[in-house]
Parts: sequence; structure tokens; C-alpha cells
Amino acid sequence: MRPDPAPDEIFDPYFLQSIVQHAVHLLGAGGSGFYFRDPGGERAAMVAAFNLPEVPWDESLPGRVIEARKLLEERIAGRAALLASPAALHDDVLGVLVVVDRDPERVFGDRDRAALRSMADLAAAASRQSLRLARMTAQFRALHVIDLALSSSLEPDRVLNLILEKAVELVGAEHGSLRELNPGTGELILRAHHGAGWNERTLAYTPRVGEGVMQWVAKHRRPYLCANVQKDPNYVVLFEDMRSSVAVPLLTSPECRGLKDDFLGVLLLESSRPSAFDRQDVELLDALAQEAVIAIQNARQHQRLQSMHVRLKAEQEKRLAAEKWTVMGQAATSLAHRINNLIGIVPAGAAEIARSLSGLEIPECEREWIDANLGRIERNARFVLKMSDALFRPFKETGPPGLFDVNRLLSEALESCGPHGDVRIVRDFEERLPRIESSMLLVDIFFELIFNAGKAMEGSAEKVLTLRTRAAGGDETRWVTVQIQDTGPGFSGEQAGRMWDIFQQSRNGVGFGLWWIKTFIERHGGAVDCESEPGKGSTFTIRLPVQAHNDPGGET
Amino acid sequence: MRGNILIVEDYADWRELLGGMLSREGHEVTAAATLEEARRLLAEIGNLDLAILDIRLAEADETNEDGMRLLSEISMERGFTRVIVISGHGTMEKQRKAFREFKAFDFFRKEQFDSEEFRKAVKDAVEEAARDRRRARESEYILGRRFEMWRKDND
Repeated sequence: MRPDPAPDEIFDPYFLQSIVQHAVHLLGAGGSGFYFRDPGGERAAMVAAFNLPEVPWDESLPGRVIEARKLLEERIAGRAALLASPAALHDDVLGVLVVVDRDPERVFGDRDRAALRSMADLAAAASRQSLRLARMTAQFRALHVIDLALSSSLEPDRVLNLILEKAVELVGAEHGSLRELNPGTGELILRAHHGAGWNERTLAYTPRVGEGVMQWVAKHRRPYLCANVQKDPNYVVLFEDMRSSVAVPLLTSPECRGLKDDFLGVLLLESSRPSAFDRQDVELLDALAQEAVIAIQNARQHQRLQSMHVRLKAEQEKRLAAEKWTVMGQAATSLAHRINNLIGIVPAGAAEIARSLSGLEIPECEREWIDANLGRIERNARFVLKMSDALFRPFKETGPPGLFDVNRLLSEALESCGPHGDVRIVRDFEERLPRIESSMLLVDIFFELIFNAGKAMEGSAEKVLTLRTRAAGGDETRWVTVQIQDTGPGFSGEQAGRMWDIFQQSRNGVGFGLWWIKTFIERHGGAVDCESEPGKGSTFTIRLPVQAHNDPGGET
Repeated sequence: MRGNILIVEDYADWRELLGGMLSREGHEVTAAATLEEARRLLAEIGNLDLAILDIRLAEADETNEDGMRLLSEISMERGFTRVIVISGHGTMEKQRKAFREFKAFDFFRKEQFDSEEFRKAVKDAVEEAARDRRRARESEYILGRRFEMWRKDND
């Protein structure tokens, strides 16, 4: 409910003071007073007085005037004559103006009556302006509070709730709701609600554009003001016993009006009193709707910036990672080149020594000793070379990067791995996978993982090798995932943690286990992971990024 | 058979090892460490049978492929000279290019260097180069004889 205005908000005390003084002068009376009608009851209270003589008089007179809605003349025998006029605006009596004459014989003429009447009405008319002013002041205060919230808060829900709360309060509604249009679905999503009576059912109700009052507002882009909704067939009853309804559209700024998406939502208020809202309420709600539009647009802008920020950050991380790998790759190739040059000469030199010595005459025991030492030199140097090869493997370029069909590479790896005896192979391939940018080393990686899976299942009763490929991800980043799953004994979490460790020895003793696989995949912007439980087999998942421009296709 | 061989290799140890190995086999060996030096020597040596080229001739420069450049120059300008490519960090791609585009005779990787294979490759290359040169001389001679006879007939 709109809060009842205080008497001094309705009547300007200075103006009333001048009214009562003029009444005394014009009518040549002894004194005058103005009584204010309490809007709640029929009681009247004096709010202005001039020179009222100290005479006891019947204080029920203003009340009776209000009830009678007309001028009353009374006499207090031997002491005073009284004339009282209702201060009325249309049919509404706002107060009573009374004049008192000390002469009990005083007869008020028609002129006196007309003058008093017009002065009382003047007070009523002025009060109406004051009332308007008071409402406008309250509205400006509310708008100011909302503006402060708008410019200081990034939480749209807080601002929208505040806007609605102020709207309900200022127009004296019982319910209010603020809905935002979802342009994709045409639904009007409830963004804020206020007032009593909201429950699970009413909260769940989501009208579409085209339903009820919302339809009218959305279609005409104009406010809807209805004094009695029960007479409007468009009205969708959400709350029982509602009579008045006012709704304004949320429209984008005037320069965007008329465009396809200028309609953002609706602000709707209801009251159980008939004719509860007027044009001034509509004006206010229009202003509030503008504030709501700003809040919604701010929120949308914020959201856009947020997602742009997230995207840029991801891109930057990707670029940094790529730079890091480039530097590491350069260092690795350079180091490999040096090691091969410096250590490669050792076995070659040793072989030359052996060759030279073979033509010389040397005692047998010395020859054996020399051969053994040359053997050690050669063996160890070759081991270092193999280690360097393993270490630099993930950085090796095997030809220019190309676009590869993962399904085909998996099949190739499976083929070169040879038959797995009694292993049942399940190929769960997604057709038309987008191709990924990588190198032929991927085949080696698939080979190694398939080989390991086969080896792990050697003692198992059930031997199933599942190769699975999927395209995943949204518009921003797309992936191809490859899963290599076995029904072997699996391993514990602790073992899984060590699996990618560089110091984990591989089966031939010189490699660095699965370290190179992880390094290679990560170098190409992907990820590799392993899930396993003792007794439940293990699944290796490789995730490879798809370049934005790659279309799904067959052969490269 | 003694051959005329040029070794281009920036690592002194490798240059000396390979050079020593081949001169002990009886070949005439010249060695260079840089692209410029190699070009100068190439201009001087007349009947070069074999060039042994390291692909990268500058340790610090990862993209250096001076050896490949020499290979292409030799393959275009010298019909008889054979080329054996050696590399410290061989990639399949370089190997393929050496063979396909420039008709390299053989390819050796330092990290898996096999001296006996190398000796055999050198021997084969030198023999091929010498054979081609001899055949060319012979056909030149025959062509020359024919010209002589033709001139006599038409005098």
C-alpha cells in the first residue's frame, strides 16, 4: 500500500495560514480554523488557526460537515455564530474550513457562503498539488537510490530487486514482478519479485511472449494500465482477487527502438483495489523500467566482458605454453645435436682402435684387456646415445606437422602391434572425427599404449582391448579424445601417480617410460590421463586439441 | 681404388677421424669446416669423386643447413661427384630430402655410426664416380673420333 501522507505533506502550513487569515478578513469574522480530514477515519484535526476566540463550541461540527459534504451554519446561543465549509476536490472531502463570529446574532449571507466555499476549495486544490509534489519527491528519492545502486553495484539481481521494491512501494501495489525476455526461447524469465503471496507455483510460472498482458505489452511496446483486470480477457490470473494491474515494457534506449531486439522484458504490478494506479504511476514505472534496462544491459555487457576475459586468458595461457614448448624444443634439439656429435665419436673411435690393433702383434692377455676396455667404452657411449635419443624423443620432428585422422592412426598402430592372440578388440570409433594437427609420432604413442595394454592382460582371464574415439568440447575449444582401455590387473593410485615420472624405467631399460608420451602430448596442447583400480583394468585417455578451422573429414 | 674425397664437417674430431680413416685407406682427402672453405676447395679440386657433408655446419644455429646447400650445389654442377651426408641429429625429413631431391649416395647418423658400413659406402661411391667419369671420357672419345671421320669424309 502506498503510505498515507502526513497532513503537512498534503497541506502547506503557510498556505493554510494565509487561507484562514483571509477567511477572517473577507467575512469580517472573529477567527478561523482549518480542519484536516484523517483519510483513515472520520476524525478531523485542526491544522491551522487564526484568532480563534476562546469559546467552547461543538467540536463535532467539522465531522458533521464532512459527512454532510455541504456548508453548515451553527449558533452557540449568546456567544458565537459559526460557518463551516467542506474543502472538496471533486467528490473527495479533504478538510473543513470554519469561521467563528463573536456576535451570536451574525447572519452569514450568500456572499459569505460563496467566499468561504471557494476558499475551502482553493485549499483542497492546493493540497492536491502538494500531494503530487510529495509523490514526485518520493519518486525522485527512489530513483536516486536506484541510480546509486546502478552505478555502484555489479550485481544485476540486487539492482533489479531494489527497482521492483521501490516500484511496489511507490505505486502502492501488492505484488510486483520484473521479467527479462530470453530472446532464444521467447520466455519471460522472472528476475525479481516482491510482495506477499509468492509461492512455489507462482514462482515457477514463466510466461512466453504472446501470453496474457505480457503479449499486449510486448506487441505494442506500450504501458498497460487496467482498472479492473476481471474485465480483461487477456489477463492471466496468477494471484487471486487482483483488480488493478499496470505493466510497462523494458525497452532499450530510444536510438535502438524499433530494432528487432529492443524489447528486453516487462515490469508488472498489481493491486487488489480497483483503480489503484494512475497515469502518474505509469510515468514513474516507465522511469524505473529505464533503470532496469540499464541494469540488464550492464549485466549483459559485464557477462560479455567476463566471457571475453576468460577466452583471452585461455588463449594467452595456450600461447605461453606453446612458447614454452618451442623454447624447450629448441634447447632439446640443440642439446641432442651436441651429445650425438660429442659422444657419437666415442664408439667410432673405439672401433678404429680395435681395427688398428687387429693388425698388430700384441700378447693375448693384453689384447683381451684392451678389447674388454674398448667394449666398455663403446657400450657405455652407446647407452648414453640411446638415453639421449629417448630423452629428446618427444621433441623430435618427424616431418612437417600435418592433419591426421586419429581413427586411422589408431588402426595403424593396432596393426603394427600385431595380433594379440586371444585378446578381443573392440573398436568404438566416432565417425567423421575432426582431424588434428600433430605428427606421425602419435602412431608410436598409440603403439606403445596398445602394446602395454596387451602385455598387462597377459595373465588375465578376460582379455578385452577397447579403443574409443570421440569428438568433444563446445564452440570455443574442441577436442578429440582417445581411450585405450584394458581388462588387465590395473594398478593403485600410488602407481598411477608415478607412471608419468621421468625416472620410471621402460621395458627396454633406456627410455623414460611414459614420460615422453605425456611430454609429447602436452607439447601439442593436449593432455593424457590414466584411470585404474586394482583388479578393474586401466583406461588411458588422450585429449588432443582440434584447430578451429579443421572440418571433419576423411583422408588427409 | 684411390678416390679424391672432400670432407666438410665443423666438428674437428669428426673431421679428423673420418679424414684419417679414409686417407689410411689410400684416398686423397681434403677437409673443410665451413661452407665458404668448402666452396673454395670445390673450385680448386678438379676430379672430385666424393664429398662427405655434415648437414649442420654451425653448432649454435639450429636452422643451419649449409651441408644441404652444398649438396644441392654439387648435385647440380658436378655430374660425377657422389655425396654422402652425415648428421648429428638426423630427421627423417632431411634424409628423405637428401635422397629424393639431390640424389645423395648415402646417409649416416653420428649417433649410430658404423665404421665398416661407412668404409664400404665410400668405396662404392668412389668406384661409381670413377666408372662414370671413365665412361664419359670414352663416349667423348668416340664422339670425337666420329667427328674426325666425318670431317675426313666431307673434306
